[in-house]
Amino acid sequence: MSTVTHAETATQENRRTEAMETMQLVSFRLAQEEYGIEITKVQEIILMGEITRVPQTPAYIKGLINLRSTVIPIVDLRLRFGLAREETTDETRIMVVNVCGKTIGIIVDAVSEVLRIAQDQIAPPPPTVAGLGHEYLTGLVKLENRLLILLDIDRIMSQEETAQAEAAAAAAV
Amino acid sequence: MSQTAPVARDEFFESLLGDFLDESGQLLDSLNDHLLQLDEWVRSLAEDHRERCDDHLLNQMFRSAHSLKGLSAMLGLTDINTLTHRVENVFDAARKNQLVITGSVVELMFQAVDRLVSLVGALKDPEAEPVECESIIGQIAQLLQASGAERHQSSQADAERALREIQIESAAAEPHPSTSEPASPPPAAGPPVDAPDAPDLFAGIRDEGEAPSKYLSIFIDETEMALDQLADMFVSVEGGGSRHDIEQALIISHRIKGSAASVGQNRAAKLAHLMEDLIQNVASAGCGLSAGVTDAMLQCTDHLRQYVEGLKKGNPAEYDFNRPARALLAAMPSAAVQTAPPAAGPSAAASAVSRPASCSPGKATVPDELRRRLAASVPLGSDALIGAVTFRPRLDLVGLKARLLFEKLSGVGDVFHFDPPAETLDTIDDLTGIRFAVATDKQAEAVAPILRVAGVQDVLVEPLVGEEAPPEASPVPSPGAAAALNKVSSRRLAGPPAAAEESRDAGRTAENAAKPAETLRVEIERLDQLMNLAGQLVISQARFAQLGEGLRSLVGDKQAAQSIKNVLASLGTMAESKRRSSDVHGLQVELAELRAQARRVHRELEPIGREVESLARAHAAVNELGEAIHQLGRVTDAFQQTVMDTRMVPIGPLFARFKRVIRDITRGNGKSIRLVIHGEKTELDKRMIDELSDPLIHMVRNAADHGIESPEDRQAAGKPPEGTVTLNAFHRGNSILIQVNDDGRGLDPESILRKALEKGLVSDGDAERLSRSQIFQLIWEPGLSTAQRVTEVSGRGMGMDIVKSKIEGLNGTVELDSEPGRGTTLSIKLPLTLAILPSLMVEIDRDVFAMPLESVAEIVGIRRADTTTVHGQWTARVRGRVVSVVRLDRVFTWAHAALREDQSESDELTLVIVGESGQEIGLAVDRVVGEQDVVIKSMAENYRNVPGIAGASILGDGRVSLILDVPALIAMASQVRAAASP
Repeated sequence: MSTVTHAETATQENRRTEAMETMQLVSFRLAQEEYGIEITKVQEIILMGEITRVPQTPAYIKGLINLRSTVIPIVDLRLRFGLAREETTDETRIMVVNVCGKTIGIIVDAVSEVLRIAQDQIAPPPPTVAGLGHEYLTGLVKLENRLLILLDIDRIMSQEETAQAEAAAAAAV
Repeated sequence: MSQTAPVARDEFFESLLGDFLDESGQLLDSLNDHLLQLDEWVRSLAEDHRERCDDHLLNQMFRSAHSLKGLSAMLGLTDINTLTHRVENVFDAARKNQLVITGSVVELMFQAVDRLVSLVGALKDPEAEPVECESIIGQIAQLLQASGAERHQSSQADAERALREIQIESAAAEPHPSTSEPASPPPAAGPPVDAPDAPDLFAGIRDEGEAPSKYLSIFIDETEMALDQLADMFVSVEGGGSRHDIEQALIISHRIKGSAASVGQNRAAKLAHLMEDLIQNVASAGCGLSAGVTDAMLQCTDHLRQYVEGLKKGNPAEYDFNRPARALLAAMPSAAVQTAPPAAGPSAAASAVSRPASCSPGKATVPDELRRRLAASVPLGSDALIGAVTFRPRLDLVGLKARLLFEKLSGVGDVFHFDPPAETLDTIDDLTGIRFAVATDKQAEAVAPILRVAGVQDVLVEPLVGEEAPPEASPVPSPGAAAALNKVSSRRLAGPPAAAEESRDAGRTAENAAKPAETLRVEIERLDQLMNLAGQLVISQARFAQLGEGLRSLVGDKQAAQSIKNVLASLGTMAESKRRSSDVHGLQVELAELRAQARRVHRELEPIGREVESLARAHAAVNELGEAIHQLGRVTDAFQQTVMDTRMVPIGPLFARFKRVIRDITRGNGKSIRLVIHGEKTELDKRMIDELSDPLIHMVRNAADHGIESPEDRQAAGKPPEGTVTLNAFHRGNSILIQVNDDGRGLDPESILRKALEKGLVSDGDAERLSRSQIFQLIWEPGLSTAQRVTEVSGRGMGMDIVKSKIEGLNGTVELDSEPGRGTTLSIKLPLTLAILPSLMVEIDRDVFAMPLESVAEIVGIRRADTTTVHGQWTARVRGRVVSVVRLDRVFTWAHAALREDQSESDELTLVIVGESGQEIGLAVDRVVGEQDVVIKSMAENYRNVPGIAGASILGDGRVSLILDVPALIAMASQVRAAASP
């Protein structure tokens, strides 16, 4: 945050503090769970289209699509988290996100809404979350009557190398 | 030593650095080239060193070194500066006969140039290793000391003087040698202002006519840029200016000087030099940029600009720089008066008009050289008047007055010269007078009164006549001006013939000189981006074409046909019922029914009519769309082609670099090798040229080091003692072929095989079965070098596999052909550009793949019955050759099932044969879709590279298709084979 000059009025100050403590999330559904990604990471949300499969890649890499003349990889988040494969429905969407300077698409069951939450609504993740690796979580968001899992999207691809090595090992057997 | 840059590494510095890299590259290239010539000369002398070396050559090298020194000093690149200074000293000593050029001197210079190349290279790559140049500097110092040529020639001024001496020497044929050459910075005494009898400041200096047009265009480009900067600066700082401004002006002037000198535009360089001197004096005098200085400098920039304009049009050199030069000398600040020429004397009536610093009494005159110059530009077949008007000192709104005069003159005739330029008049608020030339049939006496408006002090108008008939001084209204004019014309008659001769000479060379192309420096990233956009355009166009096709097939008239069928059916029922009933009541009922039917038919027909109508319109629209898409296609093609062309550069300079490589090798191994270069004009993508340098060096070294035999061996084999290495580049179809050929001993298959067995690259069993060309293919394997002994230049056994992978990285292929005793030819085949790949589109299991057309040998259709299994390996006989059949799903690991539902194995098999002979594989494909130019999209941009896949491309329907990496595919296939066989 940049330094605040004294010239700023008290109201501006207040608004600023407010903004500092809230964040916007895009929430989506995946296997009955609700997840959230910081809105700044999300570039756009598109419909499922034809995906070109790519050899020598782990299963969760569904393939490549053409996003306005740019070729981007599509990650099936269900497969990434080791969840059961599901047929594409009318609600299935690809969220185009920016991670580590790259643009990728992630397949989610449905995109729900855009939420504004306060920082103090975020709780640290519990030691275990049903059926999915702890390492992708940054926290849990307590909403009025439900919980939202805050996803560390940057780690989705950074774990690629190990997964790739596993896939190679699996292929060699 | 480190590169210290006193100039902060700001944006300005960066832009200068770009220029420096460009220029230094050219200078070093030319140094290298000249050194090669010198080397040849030294060798031709053998023992006798008495003979005098070619002065011209030494002078040229001295000049190159000097330019480089100046440029590096300007940017504060101390290392480069120190070294070039030393190199300069050596050539200076040599041309003064203080140093005898021997082989070792040339060698030392080669080393120095190499070091310089590395130093310049280090500038491009900030992470490069620091370059050590102390030892070489020390060696040069020793050399100079040993020959007694070490002089204290370290000051810039000394070197400048030395440089000028060359210019004077080269102009020695002039009847008027250097008499009028005022040495500067400390100019000798002499009448500096353009008094009628002032000598030609540029008498001893001539331009060289042979500047290559390529460099000339770069010079033009750069000078224009520099002039813009300079003019901008002076206009904005008028009357003030910080130290920073002065420094900048100094740098820019120096840059103009350097680049002018480097293309042999010595007169322009001289003017720039004077500009530099003036600024230098201003800086050391500590006073700001006075209006006088600014004016003089601006005048110079105007003149240089006009001169550059002239060069651009292909008619240079005629330009007379005396006027701006005198303006400069006159503007020297008083602190520099001792060194600068004395201030304007009474004879300075004819001083430059736009020079308020000079205190002339404001008489209107026209300097001789202006008259001469303008005489040449008098519009054909018309009379012209030349004249000058002076204003009262410190006249308000003088710019407007001048403008008024311009308007008045325009009313008289065609004003073809007006100084200061008419378009600048509105911004001028300090002006002593104007000069003009106008094409008109009016008499001077008639025009002069028109110009006599309020505020005008003196008016001079006289007829302007062509050169061959020197004009008699015409009567003029002002007696003062007449007096001045008399002097002018008397000088004309007695004028030195040298100047005229010189300008004629220059004119002749100008005619010979080709008109240089105008160039624009563009960052290569921008071209990449443009290329990318062109690629997207190609994809979009293909998409449109496909949509258009789809639309065309949709605009059938299915619905209309159905409706018409309905109508026909109801009409049919009507007709039938009519025949059956016969009674009156029945008839009435039938009539009512008939009406109802008719109404229904009508209702039915109405929408059909509308639909058919709109269909007809849609048809027309689709046709038009087709037209438009076709047009778009043509434009897209042309656009893509043009963008591609902008990236194309000739391969010549790259080839020329190998002269040096060959020379070094022959020095090292005592062989005698001739380098023959063909096709140097063949153009390649710039990026490709950059990437080709390393592999080609490997190839040329191999050819020269291993290929060519020693002279004795060659003679024993009945060949001429001198070996030949040939470099050739040419187009073939849609690709470019580059060949490196030698007439040496050729490859020895036995020795390669032995090596391969030693290294375990082939098994004993395989070894027996390998054909000769298959053995030659082993040369590409990592770790194989056939050299009997490892030499300094090559033979570390890590060349050829790197060469191959580099070339494959460019989507190219490389082949080797060799005949023992006759020589070896390496052929590199490359696509025309990197971004667009002509491909064969194939369908395998419903996936569409692109295969570089480059790598496809042929497509064959065979029957399944014609395939057999050999050692568990599926093979097919194709025209007598045995080709192993590869199925993609056996080589690639797919995590997702193919879209294909049925695995019905048809009896027909389509094989795409890829790979070099001997290692060919036949890739089984379901269908060949056709040929297509695809735009290569990097997969690593958003994901990572995948083995066996060279990239992705976008199909016409917007789908992504993968580009197969054929060499990797072959390697993977052989791995799979190895794993399968026990």
